[in-house]
Amino acid sequence: MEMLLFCFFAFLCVISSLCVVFFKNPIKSAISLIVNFFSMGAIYVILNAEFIALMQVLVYAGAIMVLFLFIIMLLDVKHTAKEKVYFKNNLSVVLSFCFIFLAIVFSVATSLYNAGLMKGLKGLDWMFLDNSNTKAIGKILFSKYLLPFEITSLLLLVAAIGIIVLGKKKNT
Amino acid sequence: MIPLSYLLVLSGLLFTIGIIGVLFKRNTIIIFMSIELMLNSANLSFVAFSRYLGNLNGQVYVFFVMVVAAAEVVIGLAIIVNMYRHFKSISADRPNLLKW
Repeated sequence: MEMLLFCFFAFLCVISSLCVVFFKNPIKSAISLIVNFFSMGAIYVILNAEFIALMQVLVYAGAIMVLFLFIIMLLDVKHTAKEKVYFKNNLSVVLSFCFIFLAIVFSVATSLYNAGLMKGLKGLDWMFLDNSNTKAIGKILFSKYLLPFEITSLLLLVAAIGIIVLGKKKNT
Repeated sequence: MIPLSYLLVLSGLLFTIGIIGVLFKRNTIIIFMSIELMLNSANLSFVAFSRYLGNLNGQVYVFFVMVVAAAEVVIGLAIIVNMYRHFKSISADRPNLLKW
């Protein structure tokens, strides 16, 4: 059952990300990116990472995609983005896809083999020790990772100031 | 229990699709979406390793990656809006001041 669900959502993930890249209309790409984010969230739930799944749906599918769609509709890009086609045949796309994918798989497999992780890995039930994944993450986030967490707030402040500066009209 | 290799292969597939998008598309907004795809695939492998090694640190890293991705998207879209104001276009070919 778990395997079946995983296969379904992985298939959905791959198909929707292909749609993101190969649709001509940016709005259709954005919609398929939303589908991709939701199916990633489902895979996180299958992996018992409920907090990450929630953040995925809230932050990515909620906030970031609203921003994307807003910018796409603001800029009216359907008329402005006339794409020059550099690669007329799809052969170069397919070839580079295979090459990069094989390179990634090969490097990951060799490093896993050197670390001795190729077999014998059983998932643990450690995430339910604290009754909830979110509680466990909160504990580790506010004790061990307290300083990076505070620096994160500084990063968000810098981003907010930066977007105010960038969004200002130049001729005022 | 899903084998770890399936998750890593899925993550590699998504990362490769993202790279293809960055390399072959000229629309800057779609390039940005492809960057989001790549960040997501990295998150997926983080969560997979965190699950299989029994260690919560990976999920905390995913949290930080999400925060950085949010900040990056905000700044990047502001840059795209400025680019549109300046060039009246969002194609990645249009800014060529640094070419010679």
